[in-house]
Amino acid sequence: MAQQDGQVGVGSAGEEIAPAGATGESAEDALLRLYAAGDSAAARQLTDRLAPLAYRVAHRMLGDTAEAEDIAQEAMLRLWRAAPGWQPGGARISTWLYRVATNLATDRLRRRRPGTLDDAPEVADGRPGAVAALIEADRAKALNAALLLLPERQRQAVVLRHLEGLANPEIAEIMEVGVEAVESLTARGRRALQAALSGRRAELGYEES
Amino acid sequence: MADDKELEAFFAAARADVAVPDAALLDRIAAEGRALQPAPRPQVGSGPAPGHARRGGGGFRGLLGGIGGWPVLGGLVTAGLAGLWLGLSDTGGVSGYVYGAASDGWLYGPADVVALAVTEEGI
Repeated sequence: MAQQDGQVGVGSAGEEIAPAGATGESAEDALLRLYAAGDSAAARQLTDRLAPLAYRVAHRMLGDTAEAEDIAQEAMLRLWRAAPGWQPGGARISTWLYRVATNLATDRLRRRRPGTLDDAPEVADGRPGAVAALIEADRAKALNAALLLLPERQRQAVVLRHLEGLANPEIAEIMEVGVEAVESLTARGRRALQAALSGRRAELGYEES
Repeated sequence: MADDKELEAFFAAARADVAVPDAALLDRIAAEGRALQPAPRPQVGSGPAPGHARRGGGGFRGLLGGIGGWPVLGGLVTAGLAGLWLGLSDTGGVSGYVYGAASDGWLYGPADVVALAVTEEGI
């Protein structure tokens, strides 16, 4: 999902929410302020903007719809509770939410047994009629399956860097580590992914390219 | 081993494969948000208007905010008036009463005595 800072929103009372940067207050900060003030539409607008982020990153880390739903609901619950005391100008709300959602996902990963390649979903077979679109979909499945084999911190860093498209400093803030540690985690994660995916080149169409 | 270019193709495919929450989940989350939402209060701007006093700062407004706002202040005033009324009425205990032998054993409290004196003076 593209970051939505910078969009202009309208509160239920018709109050226009300034674009990010215009007043130093992001659109999400403004919505959270409206929510804390009791604006009846703010909860829905914050949900539509932020819950998909929490759901998506949890789904990428866990590969499980039910668990991603639980995490999205729990992360948003924490946001509702934090709203009255939220300090504008501190951490971006999306950064804060990434941290909450990925930490909740990491907690769940630590309770799971380690995965194996046998747990990975099967990709489509190579019968006649299999086309490039299916190969592309299979690549996504294969990548997601390989991600599940990574240690939790590597997986978190790779998901945030290469799938969510965040910059290393923001990832460092989310993971509460230094930028160098993020670089190390993503590099190791990439190497592990390359190794895991190398065995699937033929079935994923790389023999032809 | 897959090279960097190949791995980027995997990442691109995974980025395009976005998991989206269903509408029922969003409805539940928004409903929970509304249930936990603070009560509405007058909306104020994000910063003070030029020439205006500091918002929510010290002095009476700060004190008022600290004790919970106008509703709590109203309760305090009500409780104070009730205490004043009780103090001026006949809660002085047994010693505060006088026995009126000439009036068939009526007990009078301090307020009654004052009221009686005023009435008699008025007459």
